[in-house]
Amino acid sequence: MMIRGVKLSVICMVVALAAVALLYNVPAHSYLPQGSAAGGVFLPEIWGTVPVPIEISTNTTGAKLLGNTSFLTVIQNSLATWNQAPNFQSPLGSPTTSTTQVPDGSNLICFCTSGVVFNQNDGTLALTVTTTSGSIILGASIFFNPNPTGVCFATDNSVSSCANGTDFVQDLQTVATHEIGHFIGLDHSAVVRATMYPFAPALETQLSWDDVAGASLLYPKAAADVGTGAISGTISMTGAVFGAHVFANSNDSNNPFGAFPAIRKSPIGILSDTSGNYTITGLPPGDYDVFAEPLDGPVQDSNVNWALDFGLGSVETDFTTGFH
Amino acid sequence: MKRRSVLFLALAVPALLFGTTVIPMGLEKLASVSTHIVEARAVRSVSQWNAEHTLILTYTNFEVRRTLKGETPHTILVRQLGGTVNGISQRVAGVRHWRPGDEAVLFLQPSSIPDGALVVTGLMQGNFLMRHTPQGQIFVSNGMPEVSEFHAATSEVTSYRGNKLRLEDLESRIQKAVRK
Repeated sequence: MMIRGVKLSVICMVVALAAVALLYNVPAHSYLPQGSAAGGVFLPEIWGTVPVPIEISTNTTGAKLLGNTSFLTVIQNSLATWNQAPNFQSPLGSPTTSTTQVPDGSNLICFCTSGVVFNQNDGTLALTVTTTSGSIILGASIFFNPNPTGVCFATDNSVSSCANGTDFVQDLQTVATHEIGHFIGLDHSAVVRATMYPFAPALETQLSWDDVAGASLLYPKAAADVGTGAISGTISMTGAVFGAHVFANSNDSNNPFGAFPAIRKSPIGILSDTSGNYTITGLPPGDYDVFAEPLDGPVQDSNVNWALDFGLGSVETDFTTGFH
Repeated sequence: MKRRSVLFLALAVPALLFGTTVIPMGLEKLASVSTHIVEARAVRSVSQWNAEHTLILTYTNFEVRRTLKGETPHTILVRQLGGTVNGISQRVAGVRHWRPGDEAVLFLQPSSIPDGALVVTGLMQGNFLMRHTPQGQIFVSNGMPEVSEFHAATSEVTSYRGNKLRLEDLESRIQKAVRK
């Protein structure tokens, strides 16, 4: 397997404004956004009308929810985590509150007790449903399961056990922060340390470089907070490799996003398109190793539906990891 | 992900499948809580709004080839969240809709709404898509990293052995679980 055309150093290579404009106009074939590929060109889904109205239901009746912090505060904190991300022009408006526990057609965040299909014993904690027309997001809702089997939600670190003493304690803000990533249009990431990684730790409320790269690709700030660049290349064996997970890992100890609270350093990754091409965006200045690996676990194509987005049956996984 | 997976898994200690956030269930748990387990082939799908016009639901007809638990007719109807109606799409991250011809081992439960459909246990966890290799083997996967090794009490994954499972191994484990 070869990686061609890889730039291993990104040293203040692009003026931020020009970079994000260019990258946005030429979608980076990234798996980071939700979207689909018409004619082999991946189109990310973004909100059409901003600011996006958000309704938070403060009615948590019947929810397995413990802690001294309110549900509203947890959701507001989760929204703030995204709103404060560098290089990201948040599309999210100031939330209003209600007491509904039934989906009402608004962009609702709630512990909904009816109207949402939570089956018994299905282990579902939360769902984000995104409604789109073409590549425009028309609406989205985050539904938390009030009564998940075997789990209770904690609103803060004062909770050490669930009411029954046996259920698993899951930090609510960790889940909410991930779901809000879907709300703005992000899909799952194969980068393990990313908030958008499909498998949740018990507690992780900070965004990573990978999350910032995805968010700022969709909604770039006109004047970037931190200049970033991109690495492009092609993955090939005997032919183009479709759906390889390609990620750039910084060799530097500095964190250019350090001025922003709680942005964790992580690799930034994307998936290759049907021509084997990839473009990793949102890279702060520095030296990087670039890896290409098969999407065969722990994150698989079924977690991101990359092949389906391109109308294909599967991604290529019959190769071993390589790096430059 | 062979060379990097050890490092990454050490960092990860994954607990729950995110957003769609679900609690990973092992095969035996899936088999236990499911009323029906079948090996089936997708024939066609239809999407429609629910009665409240708040959610799009996709109904897929499956041709049942083999029943591993419960009693099923020759064809069954399985409902999933999301789909497309008149150009409007709804997506739930992690939920993959079947295409005609897709083959899967499905762990199913009755629907909570009276629509005559079954639903996949664990939202997407009970959906083991089948994949044929050029060598004639059939592998199945539900997209979860070794769910059987997850321990909810400690939120630890004790080992990672990949997520490809041979169809005959899956069916053997189902049969053992169902017999218990």
